[in-house]
Amino acid sequence: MDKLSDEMLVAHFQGGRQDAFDVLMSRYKQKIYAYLLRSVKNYEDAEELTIEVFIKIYRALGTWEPRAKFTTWIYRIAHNLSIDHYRAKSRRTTAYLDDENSAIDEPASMDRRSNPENGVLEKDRHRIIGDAMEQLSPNQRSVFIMSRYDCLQIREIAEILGMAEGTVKIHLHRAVKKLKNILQPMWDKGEI
Amino acid sequence: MCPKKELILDSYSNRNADLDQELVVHAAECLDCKEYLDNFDQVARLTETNLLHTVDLDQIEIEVYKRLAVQGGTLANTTDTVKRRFRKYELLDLLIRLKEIVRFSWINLNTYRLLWLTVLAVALFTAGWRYLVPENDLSSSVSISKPRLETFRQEQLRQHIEEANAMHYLKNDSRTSQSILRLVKEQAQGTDLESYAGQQIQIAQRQRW
Repeated sequence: MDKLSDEMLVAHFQGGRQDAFDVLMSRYKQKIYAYLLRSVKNYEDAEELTIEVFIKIYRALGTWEPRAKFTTWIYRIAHNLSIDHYRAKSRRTTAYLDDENSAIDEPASMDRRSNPENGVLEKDRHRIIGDAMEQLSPNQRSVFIMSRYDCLQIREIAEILGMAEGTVKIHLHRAVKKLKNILQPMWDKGEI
Repeated sequence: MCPKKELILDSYSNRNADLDQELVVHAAECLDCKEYLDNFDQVARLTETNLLHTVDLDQIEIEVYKRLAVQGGTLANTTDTVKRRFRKYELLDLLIRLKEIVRFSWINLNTYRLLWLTVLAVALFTAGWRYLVPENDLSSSVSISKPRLETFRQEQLRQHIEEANAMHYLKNDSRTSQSILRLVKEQAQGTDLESYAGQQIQIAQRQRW
């Protein structure tokens, strides 16, 4: 079952094999969580949204047709949920991870085997990168995250975000340029 | 602005391990493209972080099934299965909680042992019974899913052909293109795609020489 493609797994699920959904979940939970965490910048919210993504998928999987790749579909759901979440949050004035104290909040399930000193440095680095990404426009940020960390191709990103490929390229180009301007001086000073 | 910038962006964002040789040569001469290429390399280095990959997400599956069981699945025939799975998780949860409660209670040791053994025996019996009873009759599901599986298989073969064509016509890599097409030909036996793949191999071979 593990070696089957996503689309084959969906077909198995539609044929009544529940374990196909388990495989899909274990295949994507890390990626979707990582994407959402980078988007919403809050560990608990990211976990909650990841659960919501899989519940939505489970409900829709029975009638899903392979018009697009499964990956594209699942990221699209995650992206839409993160936008809804962002809108809901912006109505309230809840503190995000932008706040320096909460920025280094460690998730309860963090890997404890790693060297704690490295962990702190990595968290600092992660926070700085997160702050830099906050300075991008929402579209630039989404495009950059999907391209850089989720290894999605331009065509897939365009499908997920409902944009033309050319627009995705422009956003990516601008995001790269902006991030370089923000992060390169920090690198030169040895701050990251 | 150099028009080849877009090719560099394509190559980078589509994760091509090696940039086209022509682009590398061009970037060495064109300052505009060199800067562009350097930007990508530098930002890739600057934004490297692996913090997220150490997070353990075991709870996600359990939580998804719990909520689905509470809310009910959309597929009528799978609601029961989800509920059954949820009951398994629920049982485990109950055992863990009981253990915690009893550990701190005033019950003397013998009563505790007796109670614990009874709970364990009931749990084992229930769990064993559930595992013995099959969750789904797979023989009936196979006949439903067969046409779908065939559709997906054909879809995948078509994607491979597209990939092979891209290799051949866009990247001038007829060797890789041919090997993909051979695989398609092998897997598509008895279908139209088999002869199509054969024709494409011949075209690729002719153009190579």
